[in-house]
Amino acid sequence: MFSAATRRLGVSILSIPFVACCWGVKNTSTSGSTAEAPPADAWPAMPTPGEAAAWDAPAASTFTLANGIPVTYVQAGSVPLTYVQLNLYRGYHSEPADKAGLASIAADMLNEGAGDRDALAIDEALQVLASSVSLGAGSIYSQARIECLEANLDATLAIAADIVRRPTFAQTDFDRVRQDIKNRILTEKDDLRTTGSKVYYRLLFDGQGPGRWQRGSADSLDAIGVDDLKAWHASVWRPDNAGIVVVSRQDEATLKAALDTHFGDWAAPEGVALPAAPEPVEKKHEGITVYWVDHPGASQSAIYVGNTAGAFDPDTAAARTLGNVVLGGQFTSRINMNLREDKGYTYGARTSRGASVDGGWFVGSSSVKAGTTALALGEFLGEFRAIVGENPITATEFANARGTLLQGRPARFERMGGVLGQFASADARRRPEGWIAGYNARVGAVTLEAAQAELSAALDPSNLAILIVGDRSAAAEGADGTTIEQAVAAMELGELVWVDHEGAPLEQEK
Amino acid sequence: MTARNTLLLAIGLALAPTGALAQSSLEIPFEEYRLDNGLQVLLHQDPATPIVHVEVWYHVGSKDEVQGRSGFAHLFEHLMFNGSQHADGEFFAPLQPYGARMNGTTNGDRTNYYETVPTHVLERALWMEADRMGFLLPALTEQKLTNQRDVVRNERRQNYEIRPYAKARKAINEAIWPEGHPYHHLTIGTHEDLEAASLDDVKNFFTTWYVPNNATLVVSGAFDAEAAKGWIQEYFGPIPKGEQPSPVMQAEAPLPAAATVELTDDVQLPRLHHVWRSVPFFEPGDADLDYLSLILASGKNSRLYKRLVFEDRIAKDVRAGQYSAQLGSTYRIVATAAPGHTVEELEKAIDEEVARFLAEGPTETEVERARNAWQKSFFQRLEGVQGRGSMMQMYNQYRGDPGYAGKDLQRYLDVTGESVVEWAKKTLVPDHRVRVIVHPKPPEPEPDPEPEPEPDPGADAEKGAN
Repeated sequence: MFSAATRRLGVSILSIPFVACCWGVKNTSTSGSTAEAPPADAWPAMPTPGEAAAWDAPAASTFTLANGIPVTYVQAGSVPLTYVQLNLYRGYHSEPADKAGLASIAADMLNEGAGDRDALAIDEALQVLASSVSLGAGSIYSQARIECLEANLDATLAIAADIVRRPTFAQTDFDRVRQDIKNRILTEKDDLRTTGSKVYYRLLFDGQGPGRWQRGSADSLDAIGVDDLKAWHASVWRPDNAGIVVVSRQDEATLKAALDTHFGDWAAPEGVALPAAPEPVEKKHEGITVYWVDHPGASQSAIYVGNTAGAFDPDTAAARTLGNVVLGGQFTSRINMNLREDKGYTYGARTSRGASVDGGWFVGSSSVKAGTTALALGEFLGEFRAIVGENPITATEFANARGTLLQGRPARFERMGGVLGQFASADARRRPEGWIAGYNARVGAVTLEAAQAELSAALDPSNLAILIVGDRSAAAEGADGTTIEQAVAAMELGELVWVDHEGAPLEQEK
Repeated sequence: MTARNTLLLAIGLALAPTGALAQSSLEIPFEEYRLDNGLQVLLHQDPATPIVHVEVWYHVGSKDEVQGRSGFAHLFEHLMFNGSQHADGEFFAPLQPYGARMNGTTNGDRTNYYETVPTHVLERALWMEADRMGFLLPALTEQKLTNQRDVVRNERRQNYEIRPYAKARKAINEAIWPEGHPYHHLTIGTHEDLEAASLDDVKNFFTTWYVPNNATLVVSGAFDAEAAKGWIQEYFGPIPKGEQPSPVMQAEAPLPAAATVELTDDVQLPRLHHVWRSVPFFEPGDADLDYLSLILASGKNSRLYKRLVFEDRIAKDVRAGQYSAQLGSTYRIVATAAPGHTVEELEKAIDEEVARFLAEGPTETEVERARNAWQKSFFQRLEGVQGRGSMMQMYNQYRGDPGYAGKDLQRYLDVTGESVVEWAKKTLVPDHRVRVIVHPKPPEPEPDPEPEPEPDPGADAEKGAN
């Protein structure tokens, strides 16, 4: 249904950034001009906020099901809904190399037939209960997320247990779902930014780890059979590879009893090996290469500039986040202030920092007016050079970035879905105990020097992978009579490599 | 079904801890008053989390734009974030260091601005909103206008030009609303009109529409009401009342004759839109049409998904929706063909399923599923202080009653299988159906050794007719 969401059909001040973002800062000044009424000198100065109210993230406790599945329990909420997330600690990183998309399609297939129900019967049973079970696989974990009314917890878990433990994996359903996914993949090339993300991270990581495609390709999906689904399910969707997070107002005894009934007798398969845990992908782009996907007729270009960075490290993750907030993580970051609010090249420009156990990255991206492609690229490079060179993070920027992260924290825990997201994400990534409660201490302990060092290590302006998805023949602004291809070439950044919409190199064209 | 009663009880518990709610009613407690300058104020307190949502609605949207200035209400919205007299810089700058989340949006009917801030930042947020309500113009410059015009034109390129199928939005509006109707043009406007916007336009628009007596302020969350009222009086109180503006509240327009619009886009698969005019937001039938959408196209068992995607495999996706708005709404059924299948196949299957539905009506389970889905999303929207604040504004704008939540819920509970069929019959009328078809661009022709004959201009003649 799209009626509810489109009630607010309309346009907004912010672009939806390429990446999840947070918030940051710049100073304001006061103008001396005069208002009509009342007189300006009578106007009170901007109030300075006092101290933030004391606030702690909701506390979690833990218990264990009969078969040993650890459960993180957060008693929270203002509505009688119960949220449960089951995490399995393997994702598409651990797929066989030639079967890209297996983890994802295996998750998709779980509710296409399970227990005594077929796909339609599962959907019907959940809808009648006002419950939902959503399934998916990321790079390092897979998950089932369950939402239900408190009163329907038992009935919902009964269906969820069928879905998770007793999937049918019928050939006809697999054929249908695989074709649905291939249809989606086919249409991804319609969109510059979808194309850009797929191609960029594939090139950056050489198709490994974070550079794998979650849904695979039409070819890799054709290499997958029902037997592969069954083997993946048996080796990954198992109780000795699982953790559960529950957010509910319901008490522990009630929740434990319901979870034990439906998941406590789930036995691990014997003699089935768990796929290897993800390892960091050690890649670094040397020198500067400009990759280009030609997209004739596009009135904007999607551009990406960056490189890999170290994999997740609990000691530096907060420093990387803070540096990102200053440079490009939010609206008032340097990158957006420059490319959008000063130059007007774009509706929004951001940087994204990644810190996964299988690899990290630091990447700037934006959709820019086609004619400004070379100019925008120059501004990205200029901002990168400045922040690791003559214009490092200032004390004000740093304090503001820290305020953004710390003071914005309570809002993330206001709603039950937000609480689940925080705790379930920490569990899926196997963060140490107390990770959520320790957030303020971790962010608070980062020094400006540490944030700067992390940025400087991640951003080396002489080693960058650049991707442009756009119309090479578009007229360049500020360079009369030249195309943006010529304008980019004139920057003499490095080799220009033409690639197709899936990132495969094309014959060199002139 | 137990689901309904439990959900009702749920929201009662959540929002009115003092009790006193009947099971079929729902109340968001709030206090309402007006300043002398006409500013309407709504306060809703919920101490659960130390955050406050501040939201201002100006009762002006793109429907109120003048000829030749399409897109102006939204361009103006952008300028509200570029500084006012006593805070002449980025609006975000004094608030983002405190973890504020903020934005502004414009649609056909209204423009809103909001920030969710930690409780101790409430006074600053109110001061900031007051400053741009009272003192925008002294900080306005040609340079800011030029910059935001470029930004908005890039927003247009990003969301209305290069986004797949987005070109259909303009075609739909122009086909379904006659020339001169306030909804004929898109809120984003045209490049030409945006280029034509001048500083004088900005000043006139601000003076006409951005007066306190055309605005509503909501404060929703954990805060001290007496302190908040003091700040509101101190910062908003001195802003002079303006001449009372008259937003367009009604615009009669004949229903469109059946028509077909065809366009091409840079996409892989063709897409079919069936669009009808429908009843305005909150008017009888509006809720029933939302249920129709759920029954037709939400979930594997919905009629169109099951037939077109699940069984016949002719569609990649299908959606249905009531796009509700003040002067009149549109009802849309949209399907994208699967590879190797055609718009004609989609249309035949959609028409058959809709006809079957109109003849048979929904099953009890279909209505129950729709009711469950609606209520769950309704209550989840009400779970946070931002959702509650925004919905109070919406009720105030469209119903003149910020406390309309209980009645809103009731209008959905009152929907029956019969009423869904009745409104579907009134709405999905073949004689007034606009078809908008998006074709993939034909592949680039390979260079031919021999020139092709000139295309016959008559071949395109039927495009634009039915």
